[in-house]
Amino acid sequence: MRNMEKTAIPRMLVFASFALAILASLGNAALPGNAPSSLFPHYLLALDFQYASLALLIPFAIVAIAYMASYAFNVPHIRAILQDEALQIIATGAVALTLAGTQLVVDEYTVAVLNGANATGNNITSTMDAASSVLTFLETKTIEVQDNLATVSIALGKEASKSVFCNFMGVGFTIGNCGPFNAYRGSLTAAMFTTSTALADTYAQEYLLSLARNYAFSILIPLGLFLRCFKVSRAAGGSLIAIGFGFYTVFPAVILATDNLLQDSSVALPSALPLVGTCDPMETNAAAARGDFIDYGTSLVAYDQAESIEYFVLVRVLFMSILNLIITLSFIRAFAHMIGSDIDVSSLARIS
Amino acid sequence: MATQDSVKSAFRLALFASMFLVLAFSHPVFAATPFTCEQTQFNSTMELCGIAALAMFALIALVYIGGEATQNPRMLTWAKTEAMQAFASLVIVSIVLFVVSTMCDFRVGEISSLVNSTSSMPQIYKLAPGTAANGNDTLYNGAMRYVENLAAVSLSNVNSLRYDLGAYEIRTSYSKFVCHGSCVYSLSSTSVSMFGGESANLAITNNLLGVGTVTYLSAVFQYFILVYIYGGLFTVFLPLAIVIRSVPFMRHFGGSLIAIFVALYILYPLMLVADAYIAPGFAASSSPVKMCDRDGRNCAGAGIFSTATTHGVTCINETADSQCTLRKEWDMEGVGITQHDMDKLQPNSLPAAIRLNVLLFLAAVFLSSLNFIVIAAFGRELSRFLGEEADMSRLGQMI
Repeated sequence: MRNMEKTAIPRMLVFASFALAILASLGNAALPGNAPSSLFPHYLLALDFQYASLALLIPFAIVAIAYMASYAFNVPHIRAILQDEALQIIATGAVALTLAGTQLVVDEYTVAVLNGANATGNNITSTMDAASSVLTFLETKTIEVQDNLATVSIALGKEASKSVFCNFMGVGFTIGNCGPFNAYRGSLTAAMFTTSTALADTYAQEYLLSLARNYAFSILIPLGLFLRCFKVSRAAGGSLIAIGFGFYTVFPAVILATDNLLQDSSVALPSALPLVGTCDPMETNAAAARGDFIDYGTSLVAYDQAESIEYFVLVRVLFMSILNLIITLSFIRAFAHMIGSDIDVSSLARIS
Repeated sequence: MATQDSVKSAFRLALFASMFLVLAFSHPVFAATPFTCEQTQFNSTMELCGIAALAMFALIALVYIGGEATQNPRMLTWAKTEAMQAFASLVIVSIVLFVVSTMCDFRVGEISSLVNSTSSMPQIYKLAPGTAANGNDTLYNGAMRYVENLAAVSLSNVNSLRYDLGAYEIRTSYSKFVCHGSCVYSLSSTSVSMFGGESANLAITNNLLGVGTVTYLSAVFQYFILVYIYGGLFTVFLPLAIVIRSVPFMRHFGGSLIAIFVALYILYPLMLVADAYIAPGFAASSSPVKMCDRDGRNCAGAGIFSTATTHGVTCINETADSQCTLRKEWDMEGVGITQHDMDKLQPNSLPAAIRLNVLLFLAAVFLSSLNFIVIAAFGRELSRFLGEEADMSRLGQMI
């Protein structure tokens, strides 16, 4: 039994060193100034292997020193714990490689599919770029919708406020012929309110994507790998890894997937609502004023127009943004659980 | 039997009384002093921990002597076990003090060289006043500087939105009489509210102010949490936790307290400094968002979204800019009554206001939620390791 233990430990150490050496060599390949590896094109190599390997080497060195100390001070009962810890470091290294590999596969697959499907622009280099361009498109269109709603609302408010005051022999009269137009303002405000929420969601997604692009694989995941190597901080490390990977890889992929689900839809992009015409407050013909009111109302709620705006704002932007975040957070929770961290993402889910 | 019970309850009472006294005496001495990694605070904490350890070892020695004298094996076993635990407490104290002193010695600027390059250093650290410039803050001061700046920029945003609301209120209530010539004789005229339709913008800005207030409250909450942590956790909480851990019947509880201390006093400031480094990343891939300086504080705190190479927020404080023609809140007092005066009240554009709110919300609410998720996970694991499992997820729910 003792012999088996003696032979198992060197095997494990050799295996661990081998895994770390691979990581370190990948780190050298990814260093700035070095030619990109032919195996991993540099733009697809998101994980900073230099930091990742450092994050694993430090705990490994600590465990190795503790292992030596267990012999020096003759404390055999902590060796089993240290062996477990060494195994956890190796598992963490495997997690790092798996993350990088998954990111690579997702990127390659997405780039191939999108470049194949998109005949006009073959300049998509990563899932992140593709998701960013989708969000930029949604943002531009949502701003257009909101600007249009604001313009229409302001013009409508101005026309609806018109009234006539007349003073005849000491008696004053006020007539507000254009007042009925106020009836449409509440609905327009509600529409604008919804659009502003959709715009806020789009901005939030863009910022999250930007954060993940810049720091997920350079800070969050290496820090998570480092923390995961120690028993007491394993859960914290796992949660950081899950959050970083979730927002870097899963979130953009989900954005693309959910948006592409709607590509076959025949609903047109939102068109501009018509502006109200000039209302004459001195118009004495009530039928004419009523006719203007009905005509404008009809033009506001024309089916194609309302459908396109509602579909775009409510479904394509608002609903999808919530769905994207829910899916990503669910993944983060499940993935964190898988790598040994049970985290409560309910507070984040509430924000979404 | 009754006598034994009364002795036990008297012992428990004395235990709680001594805990209370430790708290009562330590509070006025240390809580008023702000934490600055001062040597005196280290000495005081070490002193308290040393006294606790000595008292514990003395007690163990007495019990051991008593055990030897009476040849009582239970007392001897107890003394040996407790000696081991007291030694474990000392090791924990040493590790904690070592980590805290390392954090006091470590400079926030050093992280930028670890992460990428000096260009990744947040502007709030690079342009910090006095000797703290160029990332010379300790990790503790760096965390506090980030939260202070976050609160400041959140407050500026609230002020900006308040200005927008005021401007919309004045503009929507503005109406003018259009004289058609005959009004000179008959006072007949047409009335029109030129900006009446902006009530929709008013409603949206009102909602944004709600979000902005939540953001500001979250930032201020973090600020006061940090003040509380720096004020009493190290000088009061840690010695108390060590003392309690040394008490045989409360070892698990003491371990949980140490875990809470480590999570809040060591991990939380670290996470905040990490936030300071990654906050500019929110806006690094997009154009800067415009923020109007309405309170005359030059968008204080907006530097949390900037590094040497990226600028998340552009402060608009030039009179000539069309978005901020009348840029201060107090300028509203003598605004005038003509339509031109109303035009000068031009609020910030809605998309820009929404974008700024989202950016601040993510920094103040989203990132802090992530912090507390990580802290809760870490605290739970560490408390399980040291004693009883402590559920710290409630802290995250407060955000």
